[in-house]
Amino acid sequence: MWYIPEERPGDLIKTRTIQIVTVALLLLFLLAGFARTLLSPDTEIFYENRPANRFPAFSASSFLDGTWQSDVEDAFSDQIPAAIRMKKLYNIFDTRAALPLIRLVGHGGGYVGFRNICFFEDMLVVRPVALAEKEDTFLAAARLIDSWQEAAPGTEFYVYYIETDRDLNLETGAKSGLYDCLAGALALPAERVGRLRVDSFADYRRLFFKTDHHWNADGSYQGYLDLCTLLGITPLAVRGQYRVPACYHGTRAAGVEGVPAEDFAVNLYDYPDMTVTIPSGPIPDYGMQSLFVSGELESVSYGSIFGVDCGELVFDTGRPGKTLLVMGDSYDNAVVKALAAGFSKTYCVDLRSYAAELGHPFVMADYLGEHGIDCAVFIGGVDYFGETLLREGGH
Amino acid sequence: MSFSSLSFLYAFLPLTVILYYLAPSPQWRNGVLLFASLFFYAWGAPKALPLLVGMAALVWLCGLGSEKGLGFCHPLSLAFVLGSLVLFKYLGFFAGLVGVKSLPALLLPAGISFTSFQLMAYSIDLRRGQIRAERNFFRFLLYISFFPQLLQGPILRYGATAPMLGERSVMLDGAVGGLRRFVRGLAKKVLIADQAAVLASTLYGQRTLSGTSGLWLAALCYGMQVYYDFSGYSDMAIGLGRLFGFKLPENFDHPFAALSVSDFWRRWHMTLSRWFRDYVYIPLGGNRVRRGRFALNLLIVWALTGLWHGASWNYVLWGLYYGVLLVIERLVIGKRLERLPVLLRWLVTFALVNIGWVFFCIPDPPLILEKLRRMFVYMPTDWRALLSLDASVCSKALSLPFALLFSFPILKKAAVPEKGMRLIVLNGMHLVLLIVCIMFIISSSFTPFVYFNF
Repeated sequence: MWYIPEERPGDLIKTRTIQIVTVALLLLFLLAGFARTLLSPDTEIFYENRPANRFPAFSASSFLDGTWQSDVEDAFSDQIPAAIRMKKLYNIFDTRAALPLIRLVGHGGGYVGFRNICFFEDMLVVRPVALAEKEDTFLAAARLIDSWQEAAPGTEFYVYYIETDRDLNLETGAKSGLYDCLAGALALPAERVGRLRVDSFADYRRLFFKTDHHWNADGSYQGYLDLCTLLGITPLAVRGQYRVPACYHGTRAAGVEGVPAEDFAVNLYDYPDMTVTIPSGPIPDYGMQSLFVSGELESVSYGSIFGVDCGELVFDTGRPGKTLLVMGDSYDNAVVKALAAGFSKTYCVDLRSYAAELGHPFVMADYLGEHGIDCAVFIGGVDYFGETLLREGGH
Repeated sequence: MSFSSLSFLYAFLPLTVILYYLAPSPQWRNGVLLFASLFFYAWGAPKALPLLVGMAALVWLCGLGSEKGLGFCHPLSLAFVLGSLVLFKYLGFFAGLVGVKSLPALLLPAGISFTSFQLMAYSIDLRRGQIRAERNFFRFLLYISFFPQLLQGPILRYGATAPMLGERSVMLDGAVGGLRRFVRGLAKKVLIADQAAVLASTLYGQRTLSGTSGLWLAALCYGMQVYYDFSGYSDMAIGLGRLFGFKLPENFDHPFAALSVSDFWRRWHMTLSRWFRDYVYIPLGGNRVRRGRFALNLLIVWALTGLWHGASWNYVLWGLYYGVLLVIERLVIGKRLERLPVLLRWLVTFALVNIGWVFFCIPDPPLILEKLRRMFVYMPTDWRALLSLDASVCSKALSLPFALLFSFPILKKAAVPEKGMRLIVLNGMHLVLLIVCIMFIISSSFTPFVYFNF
């Protein structure tokens, strides 16, 4: 089959050797990727903060509808050797190429988009949501909360809305009016509805991380104080703040290489003794604030310090008092332990993972009755009231 | 399956190459290629595989019958292939012309335009006595389904392909050269076409922000996207063909270096142009007719060429645009064009081609007119607002100078003898280029979870 052209014997052997080595190297490189994907896959992609895609099991139906093929493609993209290094390298290239433009266009203020986020001065933000986009879902969320309150007159319902960069045009200062929409639609007494107020870029910069969508130590403390006022409890005293400079890249910085790390701070409270239970059983503590403060925490993330998202958390101080239900998402991770100090028992439900972790859907009436809830507070922002609550809570 | 998918690069390609070269005889090697080709097709369109095999089987049977003097076989074969093409690709379009709006959506089999043109060419060539019918169905099926050219050409003629379907020799240099051509094609697609695509869609996507300069740049980016995508695919196909001992026809010859519209079409999608020339234009009388008929022939051929690209009015308009330009060039300007300075001829051709992309890219005729008006009646482009939408276009814009540079035949002139250290460097550069392409392919799967699992 092979046809070898005539050439001087020495040159011919040399050329053939080079060509054969090239083909062998190429095939080995490609087959190594195939073998690794098939035989020794990773389970986590830490760089992207998600489980790794793995080679799927074959079935005729999945092949016919094309899902098997796309799952195979996803598996290769996560598992081939140096996949993460290549993604990182590409992100460095992509960001470095964009930075001069970001500086030029963003000079003097203004949003400069970069993939699915925006640069605004030295912060990574997102553009505001228009009221029309979320009005219907906010009204529906208000109706849902009111219906729960109506069905459970023995429980006092509260709403605490967290305004973020999605509620405010940072360029013009115009607000989307989402909070007013929600508060105006709720039938709850006005004193049981509150918000974290963000009226300007200065407010936003003070209360939120530069590279993450969450509130920072000042923001969560402000939220905690507001919630204490709303719920009528005395806030814990704060001994101060523990701050580690330039140690944190939030989730908005994922894939945006070259953005400087920012400070991470936690508020130092004197928490009372309490037990903490998650669906799989009791745990020593929720979050690792104490390890962070003692300098023993190796990697800094919002979840590792304040506690990872959990379908159901139960704090029990063992003291007499009321029982609280906190309904929310990751924002409440930073305040729930401090809130729990003011109650006998505190249940914290994250609807995004409740059904998966508990094995059954969340039903408000059953939950209130089963745990003897005195107060229920909904804590969240546009995603929570505009999506999660309706999608997961309407059972 | 796409050549630029990781499944192709990491599994399909190496396994097919290994099995092919381990196969003990030409029959086995054809068997490996046929199996690989059908699997390749089924990967992307499993439900369309029976149609592909069925069309090939009917045309093959008709070919045998036609050679035995059965007169109905040739029309039956053509009617079946053309009918399938119309049914699956154009039914909705034609139904829309007669006012029928609600037709059930039919699956559009991948590559049906290319496959049906190869099948029709086989049938017509057989009828003309230019080829002999293929006796072996599996070899015929391999001719139709050979995976390197199955989805986007080049369009093969049976007469030129048949000798390669039997015994064929593969030179080691040819195989490595084929791999290098494949990598260059992949680089065209991934490093240039896909990047230009983002720029084009950003510029076209903003109706209010893009003014005259923005829309000219959008047309340029779109043209680069189409050229590097399609010619990259052709390079990959030709490279893969060489790897398996096939010499596939060239499909592009630096069309953006063309000095006239006729020249552009001699260099762009050459196998399609030749198909229309041989099976439509010449049977209509070609240029050996009166001027009026000649113009009509050109317009018919170019309307059909446009329609071949897609079942939509904008493609027909795109084809007619070229038909009109060619009529003007041939019948009005004629030889006077050659007396103009080369730079001016190139500039005019380049501008005309870029205007053509507006028809190709935008499906809605009123919107086409709006874009064209903005291209010619000055309107400012809000570059600050446009660029602040997504600064990641910067890295994409880096591909543009390379796109422009490589659209001229500079590498042809830079060809070096492939020996010794030069060969090592050349092969090494292609391996590095492959890794860079994989880096770009993988980057599209970067999907961090922002709101969950901190």
